[in-house]
Amino acid sequence: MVQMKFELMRDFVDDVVNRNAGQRSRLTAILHEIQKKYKYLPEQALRYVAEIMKIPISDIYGVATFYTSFSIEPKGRHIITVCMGTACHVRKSPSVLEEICRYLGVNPGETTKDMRFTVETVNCLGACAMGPIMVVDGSYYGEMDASKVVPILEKYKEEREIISVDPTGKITIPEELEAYRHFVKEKRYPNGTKSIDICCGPGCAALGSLEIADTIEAALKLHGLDGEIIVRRTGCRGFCERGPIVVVKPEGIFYNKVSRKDAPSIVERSVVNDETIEPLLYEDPSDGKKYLREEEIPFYKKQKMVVLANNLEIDSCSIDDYIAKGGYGALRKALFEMSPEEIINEVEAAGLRGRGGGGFPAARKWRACRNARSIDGVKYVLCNADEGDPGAFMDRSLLEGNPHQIIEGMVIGAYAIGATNGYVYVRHEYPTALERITFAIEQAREKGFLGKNILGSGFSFDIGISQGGGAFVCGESTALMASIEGRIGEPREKYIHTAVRGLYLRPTNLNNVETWANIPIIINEGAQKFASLGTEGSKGTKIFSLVGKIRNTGLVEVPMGITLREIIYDIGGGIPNNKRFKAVQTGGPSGGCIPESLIDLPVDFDRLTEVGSMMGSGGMIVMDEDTCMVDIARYFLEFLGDESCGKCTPCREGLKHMTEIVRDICQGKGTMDQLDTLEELAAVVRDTSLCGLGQTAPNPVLSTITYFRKEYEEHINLKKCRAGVCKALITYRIDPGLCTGCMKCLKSCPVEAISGERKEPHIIYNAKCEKCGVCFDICQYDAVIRE
Amino acid sequence: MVTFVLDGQTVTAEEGWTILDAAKYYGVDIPTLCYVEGLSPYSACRICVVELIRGKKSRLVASCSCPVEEGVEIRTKSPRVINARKMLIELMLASTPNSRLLQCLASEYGVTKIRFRPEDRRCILCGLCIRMCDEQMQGGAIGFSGRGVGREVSMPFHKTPEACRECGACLYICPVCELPCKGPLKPGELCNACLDTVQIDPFPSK
Ligand SMILES: Cc1cc2nc3c(=O)[nH]c(=O)nc-3n(C[C@H](O)[C@H](O)[C@H](O)COP(=O)(O)O)c2cc1C
Ligand code: SF4
Ligand code: SF4
Ligand code: SF4
Ligand code: SF4
Ligand code: FES
Ligand code: FES
Ligand code: FES
Repeated sequence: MVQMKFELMRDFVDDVVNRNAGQRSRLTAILHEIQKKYKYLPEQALRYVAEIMKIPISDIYGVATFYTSFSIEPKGRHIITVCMGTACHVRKSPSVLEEICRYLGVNPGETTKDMRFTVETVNCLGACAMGPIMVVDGSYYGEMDASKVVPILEKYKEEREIISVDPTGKITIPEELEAYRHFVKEKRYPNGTKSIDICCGPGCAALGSLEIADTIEAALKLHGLDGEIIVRRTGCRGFCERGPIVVVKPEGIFYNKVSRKDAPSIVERSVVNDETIEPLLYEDPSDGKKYLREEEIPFYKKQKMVVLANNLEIDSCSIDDYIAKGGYGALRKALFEMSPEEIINEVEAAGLRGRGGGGFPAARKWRACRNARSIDGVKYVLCNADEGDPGAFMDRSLLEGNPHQIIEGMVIGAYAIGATNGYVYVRHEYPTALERITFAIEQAREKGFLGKNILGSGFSFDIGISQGGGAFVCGESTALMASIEGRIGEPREKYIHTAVRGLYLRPTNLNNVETWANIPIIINEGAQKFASLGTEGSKGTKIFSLVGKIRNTGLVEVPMGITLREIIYDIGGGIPNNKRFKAVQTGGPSGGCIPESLIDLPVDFDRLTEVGSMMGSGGMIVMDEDTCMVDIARYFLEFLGDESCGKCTPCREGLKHMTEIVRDICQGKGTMDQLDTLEELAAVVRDTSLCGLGQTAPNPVLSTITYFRKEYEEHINLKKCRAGVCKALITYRIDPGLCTGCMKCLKSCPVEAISGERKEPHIIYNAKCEKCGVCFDICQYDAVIRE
Repeated sequence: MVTFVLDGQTVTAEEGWTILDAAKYYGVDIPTLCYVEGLSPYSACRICVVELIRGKKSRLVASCSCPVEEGVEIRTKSPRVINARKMLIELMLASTPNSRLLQCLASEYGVTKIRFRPEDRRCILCGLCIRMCDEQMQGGAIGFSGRGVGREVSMPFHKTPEACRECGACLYICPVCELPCKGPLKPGELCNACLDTVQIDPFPSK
C-alpha cells in the first residue's frame, strides 16, 4: 500500500519535473505543483526531486523551508487564511484571527487534530479595500469581524465544492501593425456603439463582479444584442470601496454597488431603453449629491489618470483592445525611429524615478547596464511584481488590468539596454495576476511583439515568468535574482552592482511594474509632456493604494507634488465615523508614519524621505484616533521579523529584540531605559544591515517615536493606551445608565462574556472577556465603555 | 593600483582587493567572524564593518566583501564603527554566550552588559560550516533551513545525509565551538576576564 503510493508520487514528480524541463530555475514552480497536489511537500517527493534534478537535498530543503507558501507538514482539508496586511490590521484582523483560533482550538499556522482546518496568515492579498479579509479555500470573505467567524466556518463543516472561476497572426513589419490597429479599432470601437464595462479587479471580483459580467452577457444574448454591444471585463477602476462597478459607454454612466440581480435591468433599462437607473448611481455620502458619470465624481476629479488610464478602457484579456488604444505604438516608435541612446536620453529627460520604493533614476540604471560587458552577450531585464508591501495593490491592478503596457515597457527597455532575455517575477499570492501576465506574454509572442526579430526590426527578446513563494525579502533585487535561479531568496552584498553582475552573473536591470508601465507613455508623448507633471525632483504621476480608516478606499493616481491633505480629504473623502485623523503611513514596512502636523506635505520622493518616511511602492494607510502608534510599530516589527531572511546579525537578532521591547511596552511592562535601548539598537540595525529590509526596518519605530513619543511614554509611565488597542491596558464595561438592554452585544459576543435580561442593563464578565471589541462597535447607545 | 586613505594613511592596493585584504596587508586589525580565507565571503555577521567616506557621504560597509575604491577614505575604528561593533557583539552574545571568540571580543570592545532577553542557541549562523562542507569538502551535506529568527543550520529532515563523510571539517571551522576561558556561562553572562588588559584604542578622527 505504502509502496504503491510512493510509486504514484514518483510518477507525479517525474511528470512535473519533465514539464519544467528539469531546470533549477523552475524549482519553485515544481515545488508549487507538488504542494498544490498534496497540500504539503512530502519528504519522499522532495528526495525524489533532488535525485532526478541532481540538486543536493539540503538545497531543496532550504528552499522548501524558506518560503512561507511551502509546508513540509501535512495540512488540513480546508485552508483558512487571514490577512494580516497593514490595511487589514488597522481594521482589526487580529481579532478575527483570534476568534478563529479560539473556535478551532489551534494556534496560527496549526492544523486541527481532525485534519479538517489549517489556519494560516498572509500579509496582504491585494484586496485591501474589502479588509479585513478571510479566505477559505480560495473563497474571499470581506469586511470580517469576530462575530462573523463562527457562522462562516460552520458552513465548512459539511464538505463543500468550491468552484473557482478561470478567466479565459504574427506582425512582421511596422506598417502591418498600423493596418492591424485600424482593423481592430473598427471592430472594437465602431462609432456610436455601446459597451458595458464591468470592473473585474480584485476588489470587485471579491464581491461577485465576474458573475455579474456573465449575467450581463447572457442578458445581452437574450435581447439579441450580443454581437453589437461589447462586454469588457476591465481591471481595477480604483474605486473598489464602491464595487462592483459597471460603466455603460459611450455615455460613461457609472453604476456602483451593483449586484447580480441588477445586471439584467442594466441591459434592459440602461442599454435598450436609454434610461438611467437612479438607485445605482453614486451618491456622495457627505452631501447626498448624485453623480451620473465617472469623471464627475469627486473621488476621480483630482486624480490624474495616466498609467491607470487604460485600466478604465480596455478588457484586460484583450490584446486587441490594447492595440486599438494605441498599444505597442511606442514599441514601434522606439524600434524604428529611435536609437537605444536616444531612448535612454528620453527617459532621463522625463526624470522617471523607480516606482518600486527607492526612487532611483531609471535612465541611470539602464545606462549602467547598457555599458556593462557580458561574457556571452546575455543581459537581462526583470520586472519586479513581488509587491510585498502589505496594504498595497497598485502593481496587482496593473498586472491584471493592463498587462501589455508592462510588457511593452520591458521590450522598449530591453532594446535600449541591449538585453536578450527578461523575467517577470510575480508573487505567489497573486494567482490571477500570474495568469493574466502569462496569457498576455503568449498573446504578445503570437503577434510578434516578443520573440525573434520583433516587428522585423532585427531585435530579439523574450520574457519568462518566475514565481515567488511568499517572502517579502524576495522583492529585494539580489534576493529576487537568487529566487529566479531557484535558490533561497537571500540577499547578497551589491558592492558590484547588479547592472554589472546580476542574474546568473550577467548584467541585469530590474524595474518595478509601475516603472515599466510608464515607459510607453514617455516614448509616446515625449519627455517634456511627462515632466510637465510633478515637482523638481519627482516627475509624472504616482499610484497609491489608499486604505485604512478612510471613506473612499481604493487606488488613486495623482500628480507628484499633490499634498497628502488633498489625497486624504478631497479624493479620499476624509475619515469616516466622525473620527479624527491621526497619521498616514507611507512606504510600507520600510516607511514611516506622518503625523497630522505634516499633512500639507507634497507627495515627492525627497520630501517624504526628509520626514522619516518614504514614497515606497505606494501603500498609503490612513490611521484615525483609534489607531495606537505603538501597536503599529509592533505590527511592522513583527512583520519584518517574520520576513527577515535571517542572514545577517543586525536584522535577524536586532529586529527580534526590538520587537520584544515594543511588545513589553504594549503590555505595560516597558521601561524608559528600554525605550533608549530601542532607539540605540534601531540606529545600529539601520547602519549595519546587509540589505534594504534591515536598513529600513527601523523606520516605522523611529518615525513613531519621533512624532508620537508621548504615546510611548503613556504606555510606559501611565500604563495607558489612549487608542484603546493594547489589550493588556484596557477593559470593557457597560454603563448601566446608558444601556437599554437591547441584547445586541450579548448576542454578538463570541465568548458569551455578557449577561443580562431584555430591557435590563447588561454586564460584562471581565474574566471571560477576550477584549475583541465587538460589543463596543455594535452598541448603538454608546453604553459599552472602553478604558 | 587603487589609492585611498586607510585610517589616516594614504595607501595603495591592487584592483579587486577587498578592504579587509588591504587592511591585512597593512597590518590593520579588523575582526571577522563569518569570513575565513579560502572560503567565499558571505558578509552576514557584520562585525567587520568599517566606515567608507566618499566626498560628503559616509556609510558602513562590510570590509570582507567591499572592494577598495580609488579616492575614498576608510576608517576602521571610528566611533560609528566601534559603536556598531559593540552592539553586534551584544546581540550575538545574547543568543550565543558560550563562545570564547565572542567573549574575547566583548572584553576587547568593553561590552559589559547584555540588555536583551538572553538565550543559548550555540550558533551565530555565520554559515562557515556550510561553505566549508560545500566548497572545501565537496560535501553539500548541510544547509540553512527556515528563515528569520527560525533559521538554523540543519541536515535535511533532521537526518544525517549520505553525503556527510563525518570528516569534522564543519566543527573545525566553527567560530563559536570553543568555550570561554571561564568555562560554560549561563545565558546573559559575560566573561569579561581580560576587560582591563585588551581594550581597543579607537582611531582618533582627523
Ligand atoms: C525588502 C525589500 C522589498 C522590496 N520589495 C519590492 C517589491 O515588492 N516591489 C518592487 O517593485 N520593489 C521592491 N523593492 C525594491 C527593489 O529592490 C528594487 O529597488 C526595485 O524593484 C527597482 O525598481 P525601480 O527602480 O523601478 O523602483 C524591495 C526592496 C527591499 C529592500
Ligand atoms: S537585512 Fe535582513 S533580510 Fe536583509 S540580508 Fe540581512 S537578515 Fe536578510
Ligand atoms: S464582552 Fe469582551 S469578548 Fe464579548 S464582545 Fe465585548 S469585548 Fe468581545
Ligand atoms: S562532517 Fe559532514 S557536514 Fe561536516 S563538513 Fe564534513 S561532510 Fe560536511
Ligand atoms: S554552527 Fe558554527 S560555523 Fe556553523 S553557522 Fe553556526 S556558528 Fe557558524
Ligand atoms: S488584503 Fe489585507 S492588507 Fe491587503
Ligand atoms: S476592483 Fe473594481 S474598482 Fe478596484
Ligand atoms: S566577516 Fe565580514 S560580515 Fe562577517
